[in-house]
Formats: sequence, C-alpha cells, structure tokens
Amino acid sequence: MASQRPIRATLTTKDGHGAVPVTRSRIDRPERSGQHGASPIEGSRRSLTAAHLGRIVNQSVNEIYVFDAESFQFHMVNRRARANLGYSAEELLGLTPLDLKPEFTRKSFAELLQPLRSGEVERLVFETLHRRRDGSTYDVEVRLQLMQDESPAVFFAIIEDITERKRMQRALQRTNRDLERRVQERTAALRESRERLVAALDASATGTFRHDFRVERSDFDESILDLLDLRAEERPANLLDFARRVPYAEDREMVIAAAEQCLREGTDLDIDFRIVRRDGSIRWIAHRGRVFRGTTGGPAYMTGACTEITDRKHHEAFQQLLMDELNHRIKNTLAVVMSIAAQTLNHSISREHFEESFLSRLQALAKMHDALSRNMWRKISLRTLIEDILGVFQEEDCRHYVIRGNGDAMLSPNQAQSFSLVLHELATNAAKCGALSVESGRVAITLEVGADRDGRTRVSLQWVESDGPVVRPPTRRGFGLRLIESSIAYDLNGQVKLDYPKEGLRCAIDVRLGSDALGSAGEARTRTKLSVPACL
Amino acid sequence: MSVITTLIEGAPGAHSGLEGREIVTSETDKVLSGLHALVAEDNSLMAMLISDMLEEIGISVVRTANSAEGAKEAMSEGGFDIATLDVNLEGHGIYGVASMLHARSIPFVFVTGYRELPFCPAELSNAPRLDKPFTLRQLAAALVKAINFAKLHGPAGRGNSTNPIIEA
Repeated sequence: MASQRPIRATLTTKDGHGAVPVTRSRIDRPERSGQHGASPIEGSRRSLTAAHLGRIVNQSVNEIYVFDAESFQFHMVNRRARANLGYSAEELLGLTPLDLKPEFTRKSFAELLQPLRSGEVERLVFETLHRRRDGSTYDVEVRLQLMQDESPAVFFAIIEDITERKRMQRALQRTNRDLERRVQERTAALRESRERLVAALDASATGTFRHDFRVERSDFDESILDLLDLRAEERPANLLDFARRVPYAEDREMVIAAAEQCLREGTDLDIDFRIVRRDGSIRWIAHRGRVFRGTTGGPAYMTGACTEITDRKHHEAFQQLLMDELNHRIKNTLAVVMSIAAQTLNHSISREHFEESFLSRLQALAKMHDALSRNMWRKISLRTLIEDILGVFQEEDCRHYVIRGNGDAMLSPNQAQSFSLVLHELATNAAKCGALSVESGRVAITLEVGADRDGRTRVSLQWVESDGPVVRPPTRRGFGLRLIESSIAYDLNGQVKLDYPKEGLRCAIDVRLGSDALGSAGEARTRTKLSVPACL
Repeated sequence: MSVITTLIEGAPGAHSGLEGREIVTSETDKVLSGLHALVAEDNSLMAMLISDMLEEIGISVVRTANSAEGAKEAMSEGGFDIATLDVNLEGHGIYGVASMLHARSIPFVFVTGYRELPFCPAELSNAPRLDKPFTLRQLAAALVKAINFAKLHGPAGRGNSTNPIIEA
C-alpha cells in the first residue's frame, strides 16, 4: 500500500554528477514478474495482467477519469463516463475536467485541488455538475485522488451520477418544508379555534372543567370561576368540593348526590341547580359532564361545562303560567257557553228558536274572542267591539248605524265579554223587530268616556233607535233582557235603563271600569293575574 | 244536567225539582236539601248557571257576591250555611273569605279553572274544588265533601277551642 506522504529521495547518477530529485510514494520492490517486461500489479494475482485490469477499470459502472496533474488533460476516461457524457474517446482525450464542469473556472479548480497537492488531504469529495456533449447537465459526486508515484503525475477521479439521489434529496426537502408549513397552519388553526372557543364560552356564559378519575382531581377553568362568581382562592378542588360549596342551599343535597353517583359509577352528569351570586341574585346553572372511559372500561376522565340558564328557566316557568292561564280561560269559556245554552233553552219557545238564539249568541262570543286575539289578548277597544257587532248591518251606500262621541275605553277580556253579549242582544233585537229590521231604520250610538274623581274610567253608552217600526214594550222578559241587565249590573257594576218610546228603543248604559281602561290600544298594558314568584 | 234531559224530552224551559232530585241521590238529598247558599262569582252568566244548578239540587241561593268585599259583607250579614267561591275573583282576596268561613265551620267549595291554587293557605289546600265546567252531579258531590271537610277540619270538628286557630 502506498504510504500517506510522498517520500522524497535522491538518486545519484553513475558518473557522479548531480542528483535527480524524484518524488514517489513508495519505493517498490519489484517482484519476479511472470511476464516478459511487465511488472506485476500490487495486490493482485500474477495471472491478472495490467491490461486485464485496465479493461476491468474501463468496464466499471462507475465513471472513472484520469487526468494530468499539470495540464489537466484526460489520460483515460472509462466507458461509463464516455457513455454518460456522450463524447467519443478521441474527443474526450482532447478535453480537460474544466470542459465538463461548468461550475468551475481554472482558478477555482486549482484552488480546489490545492489541498491534494499540498498533501493536506488524501482525497477530495465534492458535488458538482457535469455537462454532457449535448449541453445537458447532471449532478455528480466526485471523489478525487492525486497519484504522484509515477510519471506523469495524475489525478484519479471516481465520479458518481447522483441525479437520483439529488432528486430524492430535493423531494425530501420539499416534504419537510411541506410538513413544516402544515404544522404552522395547524398551530395557527388551533390557536384560532381556541380563541373562538374562549369567545363562545364567554358569550354563552359557559365555563368548562375536567375531572380525572384516576388521580381524583378536577380542574375548573377561569370561565367557571367567572360564571359562578367565585374568587381564585375559592376554586373548588374537586367535584365533591364543588357540590358541597357551590349550589344554593336547597339544591345542595341533590347536587352532592349526583356528584357522588358520577364519581362512583362513572355516569354522565346532567343536572340543573341554583347558585347565589355575591350580589344576592339567584341564577340557574346547567351542569353537564361527559365521561370518557379508559382502555380497561372504567371511567378515565370527564370533560364538562356549566352554563347559565336563568333566562330559560324563567321562560319555562312563564310558559307554564301561560298554559295554566290559557287552560283556565278555555274552561271559563266552556262554562259560559253552558250557561248561555241553559238560559237560552229555558227561554226558548221552540227548538228552532233555541238554535237560532243559541248559535247567534255563540257567534257573538266567537267574534269577541277573535277581536281579543287580534290584539294578543291584551285590552280591546269598545269602539272596535261595536263596529264588529254592528258591522254586519253596514251596506255600501248606506250606514244603518253611527257612533258618536269622544274617546274610547280599553276593555279587559271579561269586560269585553259582557259588552259583547249586551251589544249583541241590542243588535239582534233591533234586527228582529227594531230599527235594523227595515231599510229606513237607524241606530245612533253615543259613546262618552272620561275619568271620574277616583280616577276610574266612566263609560256612558247611549243606544237610540229611530225610523224603525213602531215600538211597543216587550210582553215578556226574555233571556236577552235578563242578559243585558245582569251583565251591566253584575259584571260591570253599572246601570242600565231601557225605554220603549214609539220612535224607537232607547238603552242607556253607565259603567265604571278600572283606572287603566282609559286610552287607546297603543297605550294598553296587559293586566293579567300572572305573577312569577321571586325565586322559582 | 236537567237542561240536557229536557232537550232530549222536548220540553223546553220548565224543570221540575223532580228531575233535579233524580240526579241527586237520596243520601245527598238529605244533606243538601233546604240549605241556603252564598254564590261568590263575578261573571253573571256563571252566577246564573251555578244558581240554577243549586236550585235544582234543592238549595236556595240567598246571596250573590261579585267581589271578595261583597262576600265579606254577605258574611257579616249571615243567613246562609254553604258557599261556592270563585277562586278567580279580583286578586286573591277570596282566600281570606274562605279562611273566615272555615273559622266559622261554614262549608264552602272552591270553583276554579286552574290546575293549582298557589296562593291557597296551607290548611285550606285540601278543601273541595270544583273544576269548571262541571255537571250537577259533580256539584252535589263537592258540596257534600265541603260539609264533611268543615266537620273534620273546622274548629267545631277539632272539638277543643273556639278560637279559629290557623294551623302552621
């Protein structure tokens, strides 16, 4: 094997003049050569000739180059190299590495080779581009060695086409960059998602918590502290601690029982309870936790949330009240219908008479309900009622009735019912045998509404018929009359007077309503008996 | 209800006490017949209906009141031994009237369209209730219950003191 450093030796010539400095890597001891004039190749069998070895080198699948150490001219370029480059042997032997390496200049190439020349390194390995005869390039890795044993001194290069390797490297780099970018995107998305979650929790007054069954510890986050109006030092240590300290006294037992069951059996949490905030206000909290089980099947951890649902609870309670009220009104109405049926029957002289009267009164009730529900069951205007009932007697070119006077009274549902029935009786009577039974007849209604000394609303309604048939007082007291009298006197605490001058029937009604009956529909406020208890 | 029977039989208007008595059993008849009633009801049609039904049972209606104040006035004047109280009179003043009646062992029935009576005092929470609309039979049964309730839970029933103690 060649030693690492060149050995400088001097040879003296036979005539004794001068010395010829010779640089060689080693002093070879020639061995007996089997072939005439050929010295055997070191490290090889005697049977392997130099020529054979040369051929082996030529056929190597590595690109092998030998070029002159001084002139850089190629001394040998093997078959693979020639094939890859596309040059013929002749062409190549007239070229230097610089012709193949577009990235180098003579100067930079010389600089590159310097460490080899100086003996600093034994071998150079570097990557560069090779240019083919047709101008295309390919990536190569060059392993370069300087051999100075013999003359001429040469550079020996084994060159590998690393196109594929380079391609894979670049692909790997791209993949890495891609992954990097995706990680960044994911991180950004995660951050954004977390921000959204925090904002949503905030907006919905929700706090989250996590309980670890294995270490028996709970984590309650900041949002829960805010929600429950707890200071940082009051943060519950675990679920049971939470259950014992947080809920309103009345609900505490239930919450403790639920927490114990959850911890014991790993069941999900789903309870509503009240808390008392520091300002004394009571809030409803919905407490939900979902349990996630471990690989062994037992509960591992629970994630959950607390949300304020005070509004919803109030709403539910109010709805229940509304349902009750609705139920109550329907029952009342049914009872009233029963009463009308019974009374109408008692005063009917025939079945047809009953049907007509009964249905007609029911219709009046229905119309009144319609008018009330059009105004959302708030108060209803008396004028509207009069219009509704007398509207059927209106013709295109002729008004059979007129409403005079100022103002209007806003009636509660009960008051509306009474007035409806009264007006219906008056109108029906007028249509059967009074002013509304003939073309020429007219009804003049005068409505005066004002406040009296006590602030209550006084309503005075005058019903005056004219230009109808000649009037005679009734011979018997039908239900209509009884209805008018009892409705005004009993229901409305008022007075009614009926007169029968021959020009036409007159009815004077005088009632006092509550202080809130004065005014128009726009000002009306609901006056119901609904009241929500202070603490549900 | 006799209105229905007369409709079927085609005899409008007249209703003799006979039909009323057929609906009421002889037992209830003994207990209820001849009583005098106060009807506290602010709707004239309902007052008419209840009055007519009471008369059919054999109870005469001596007073009607359309407010809690009116009912209290009627109480101070006396003259009746059973009452029907509309729970929905203005405000919740009717419970005061009920308590007073209860203290005097005068039986009464709450007439209501509501499921619950949230403002009803505790000692009256088991007092008989009549849900609108009701039949004659239901009215008679409720009146009998009212008499029993007054006997059992009223001061006379408890036997000892004459003071009307409101139980806690």
